[in-house]
Amino acid sequence: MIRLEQVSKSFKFKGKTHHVVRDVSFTIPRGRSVGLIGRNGAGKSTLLRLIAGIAAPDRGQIIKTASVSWPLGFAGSFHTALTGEQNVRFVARIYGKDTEALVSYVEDFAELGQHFRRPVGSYSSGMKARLAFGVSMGIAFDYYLIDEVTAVGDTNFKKKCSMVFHERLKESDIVMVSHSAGTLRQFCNSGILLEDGKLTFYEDIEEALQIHQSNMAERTRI
Amino acid sequence: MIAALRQRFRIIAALVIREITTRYGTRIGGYAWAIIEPVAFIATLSLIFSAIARTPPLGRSFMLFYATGYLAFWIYRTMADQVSKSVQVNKALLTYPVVSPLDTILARTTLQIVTQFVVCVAIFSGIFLLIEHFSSISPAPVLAAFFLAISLGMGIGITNCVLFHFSGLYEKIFQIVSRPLFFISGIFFLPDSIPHPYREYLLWNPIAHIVSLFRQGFYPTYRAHYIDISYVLALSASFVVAGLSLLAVFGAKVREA
Repeated sequence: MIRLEQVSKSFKFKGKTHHVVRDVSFTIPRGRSVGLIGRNGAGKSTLLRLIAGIAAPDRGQIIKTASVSWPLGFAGSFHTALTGEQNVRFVARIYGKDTEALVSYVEDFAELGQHFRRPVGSYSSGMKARLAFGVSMGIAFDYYLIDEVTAVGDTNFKKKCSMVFHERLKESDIVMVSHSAGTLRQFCNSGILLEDGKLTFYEDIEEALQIHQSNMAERTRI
Repeated sequence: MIAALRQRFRIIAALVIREITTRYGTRIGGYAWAIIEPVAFIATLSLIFSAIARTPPLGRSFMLFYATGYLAFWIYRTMADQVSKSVQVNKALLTYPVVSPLDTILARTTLQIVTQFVVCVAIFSGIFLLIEHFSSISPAPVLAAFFLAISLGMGIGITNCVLFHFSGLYEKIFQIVSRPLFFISGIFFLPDSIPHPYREYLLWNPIAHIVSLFRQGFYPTYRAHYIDISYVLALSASFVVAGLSLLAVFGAKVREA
């Protein structure tokens, strides 16, 4: 379970203060995979970083009684001077996993060939995403935090990702940020709408997506 | 408790390993550059000064005089530099919530202490075997100076790690102000040779005390009565406390941006 208790968080952008959440108390229940929905700049990624624990709330606290992954996404968590393999070893060490087992799992999974032993700085974004996906799937978490992961690789690779991912979802839940309604429908069963510093939980992802769409339409009319 | 300690230890060890692999990038020789650099520098200093002076201010060996002066200074400076950048260079790795800014600082400090100790032992053994059989080393002043240089460097490094993050201007100013330290820390001369009142001014610089203390261990007849260990110790402790407090308050901010 992940619980937000009277959490407030704001950030300054171009001199204006934006409130991501304002005095929000909220529980993300275990056993639901949720999509985080909100318009651009609402602070979905920041909320994910708060949950991960790499951003601190201005006020309030976040209580976690489950293991939560790092936010997996575009922004690389890899050290660019280290090779793919060395980065995997690093992750295995900090999470106390068997390094050799994780290395061979990721090497096999990410299909990077000889690039696996070259510096991550030389990778294309697709290669980085494959490495990131491989590493995170190699470690079991109760919650996977996923920030805007688009499909990586060819159709076969996508199939493999989707398979492994759904396998993981039997045991684990996800909190996912995505602009693609299709991706959210595919992986999430519930939705959280982030708007004007408030969070609203919808049991059904469809409902959340619909309300979000009508909200957006409302805003454009004004 | 034990599990938490173990995890910290694992994380710091992982950061140390990543540091050893990447500090010198793909350069041939890798981490060996940590020793090659100071050796080359001391050799150059000795060559230049042996060409313009007949004897060093102490003893007969230029190499020993500049090694004792430069290394004491180098321990402080590399520690301060390395620690002040520990969060910045590990930015990507701070995406993992289990890694904290303090871990990156502790990892760099640990590696730096070991590296500097090994470099000092290697250089002085080299000088002793190849160049000059210096009569004796008294370990107490040498180790005390080593400890003070490390503590001061660590304290200033942690403090700057936070302050540099918030102000690029301060970082520039700090670099400009600290550059002349190299010339006023008694590496090339002995503070004893500076006339009053300038010597008193010079002795506000804690590194001058550290350099002289370090030298005392190698030159048994050299008595630098002006060394004030408690002054350097108090200053170092203040910086360590200030740095850790800044980190406790602003650590999350430092990690975020």
